[in-house]
Amino acid sequence: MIDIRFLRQIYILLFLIIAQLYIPSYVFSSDIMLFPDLILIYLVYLSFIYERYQVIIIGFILGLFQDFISQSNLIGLFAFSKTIAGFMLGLLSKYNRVWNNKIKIGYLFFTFQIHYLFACYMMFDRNISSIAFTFKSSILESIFMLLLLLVVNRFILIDNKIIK
Amino acid sequence: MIKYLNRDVITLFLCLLLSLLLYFSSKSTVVYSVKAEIANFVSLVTYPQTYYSNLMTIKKDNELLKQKLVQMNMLNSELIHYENENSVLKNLLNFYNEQPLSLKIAKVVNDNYSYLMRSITINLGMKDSLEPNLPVVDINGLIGKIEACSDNASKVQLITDKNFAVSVRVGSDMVVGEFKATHKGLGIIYGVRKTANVEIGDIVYTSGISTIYPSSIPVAKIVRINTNNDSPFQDIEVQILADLINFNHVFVVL
Repeated sequence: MIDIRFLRQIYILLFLIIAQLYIPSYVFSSDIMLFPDLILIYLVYLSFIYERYQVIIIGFILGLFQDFISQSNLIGLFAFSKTIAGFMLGLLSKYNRVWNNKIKIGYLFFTFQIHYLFACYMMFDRNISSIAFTFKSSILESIFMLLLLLVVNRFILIDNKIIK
Repeated sequence: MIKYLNRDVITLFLCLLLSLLLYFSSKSTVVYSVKAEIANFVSLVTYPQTYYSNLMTIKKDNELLKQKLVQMNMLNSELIHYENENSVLKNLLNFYNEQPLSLKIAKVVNDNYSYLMRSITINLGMKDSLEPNLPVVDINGLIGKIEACSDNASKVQLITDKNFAVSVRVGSDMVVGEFKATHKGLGIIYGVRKTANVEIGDIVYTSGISTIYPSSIPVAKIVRINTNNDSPFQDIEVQILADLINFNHVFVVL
């Protein structure tokens, strides 16, 4: 007998993977494009449901999925960054009742920043893009994702709000 | 709490390890640049250790090089010695080929400088057809005669020995006299009349009258002539031609 909760997660995941494939990117400037990372937002949501080690494993698997659907020549890139994000988000759920909204938002930004810093560092060729571009890109992507998360949190996660 | 932390950390490390393995297995240029940067970082972190290890290696290398330098110096000295020996042997060979006399080359293996007796030992003996009273020369002139022989070595009485005398001819008239050594490579020619035409710089040769020495072997060069004396003979002082300082090889006249 399959757990209803688990089945729901599978449906959401399938939807997210398909959505991630077709979701449009936002051209911020001539050299920077911002991609909405739905899987990362989903990982934030999962971190409040599952335990930390489970979130790490889910992060790794989702990252691996993202590697396969987004780019195939750097397999392991998002698996690595999502694993770290999963580890950091595990702490957020632990202190959910202790931290106030500002700290939570700050910590989420920090988590996204670390996630994108690793992802951008491992994605961009240093012979073409400078390290400054990596930082700039990761910061903009983190801000963009935080804004997206707040929107999702406000309108979609009505019952399970991360930031109340 | 610690148990949970360990579980979380272990899971994290396993997932990171797996994702890094996947990432670094790629042959993309990005991965190569990341690998290069990691290598740079690691080399920067391990620089003190590498520096110290290099210092230790340098110390060992220095010791080895010093050892090598000593060996090379010794080898160099040996080569210089061989070069000199080669040059000397070439001269000897030229002398040997130019001589009408039948010569046998011998190596000096020992020398004896006592007050009166002056002799050297050579590495040829009766097995090499040597016998007592054979004259011995070097490339410059007469050096002595064989005094005694064993099977493999012979003792040579030097020209500077107090008991050594040789009949010589001197000057343009080829006047006969007798040579005897005095000191410091010098000698005196006895029995040359005052009327004989003798000049400083003339070479003194063996006369050939003796049964031991063949004629025309250079013996000495005249360095001083004194005719202001009461005797009917000149006082002729000569410089021995043979090299009496550096004995290496000599020739036995057969």
